[in-house]
Amino acid sequence: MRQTLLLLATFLAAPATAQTPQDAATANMMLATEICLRHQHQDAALPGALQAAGFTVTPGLDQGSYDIQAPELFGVIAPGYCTFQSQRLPIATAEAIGLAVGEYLFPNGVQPGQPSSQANAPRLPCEGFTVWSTRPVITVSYAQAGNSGECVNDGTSAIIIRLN
Amino acid sequence: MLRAALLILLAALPAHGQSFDDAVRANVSLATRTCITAMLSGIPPEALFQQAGFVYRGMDRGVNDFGVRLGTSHYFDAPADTAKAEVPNIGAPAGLCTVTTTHMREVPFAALVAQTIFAQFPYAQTTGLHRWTLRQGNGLPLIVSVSTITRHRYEAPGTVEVSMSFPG
Repeated sequence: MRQTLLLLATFLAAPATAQTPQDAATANMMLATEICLRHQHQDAALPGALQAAGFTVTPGLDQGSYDIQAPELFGVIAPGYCTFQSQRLPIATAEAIGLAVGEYLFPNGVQPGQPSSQANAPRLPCEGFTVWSTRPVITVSYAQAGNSGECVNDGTSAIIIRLN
Repeated sequence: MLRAALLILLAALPAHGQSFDDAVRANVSLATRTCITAMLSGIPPEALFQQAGFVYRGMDRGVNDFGVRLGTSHYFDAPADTAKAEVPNIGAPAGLCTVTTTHMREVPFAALVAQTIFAQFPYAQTTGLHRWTLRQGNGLPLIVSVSTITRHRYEAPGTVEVSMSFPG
């Protein structure tokens, strides 16, 4: 995994290749999401796992939190919480990444909507999904990049992963 | 003839006896009330459920095929498998609380949950089919919803569930 990320960074530094910033954002968002989902029940191992995969991990502002950086990606992790954001990916792409990774890691364990969602009602924009096969359950939702938490289609995106 | 025989038999039961269905309804209602109290008070749920007569059962879900640890289910069982409650953590405020039973259908189950809610919170709002919102003070609204589990869960398909959590 470290090779994947380092390879992307190499491509970015070499404009002659076909690698685009969107490609880098997609690959790094997918990798970060997978590592976070894999380690939701192993909080202590998460910073090291991200670092081992090539992400830059530095202590964050809050105690126990870390800032995560990679080409075209910024994130924050804390016990029971990850968010990864990109200025290059629209929300629809982030949703596709989140769902693909979730369904890959938890076959038959993913259900659209949050735990507080009404059954059989239309899903709300950015509502995401819940992984019901883990305890506590994991929720994945989306927003524009930044601190607003709003579901605004401005070409940026954030994946928000919580242990509920 | 059979009905009469049954009535005679029932009449012979001790006065304090109750049917299995009565026990299911009583325990669903009690578990729902206890869940609401745990959610709104922030009191760790194990004390509340054990005080109410439920028995704790932890179940390690192990590791899945992708090497992902799945965590531990924390159940509080009512007697005779009539109902059970589940919370994500013990020793901490519950961020989610569910009550399930395999012995009721969704419509009567939802009616029982509604009856339980409005007895305790007359000003609760009905915000959808089998869905209610409880507001207390300046805290976040508690969203309560009833559904039938069809897939993606550890419970058997057809199990009915009342789930409550805060938005966000």
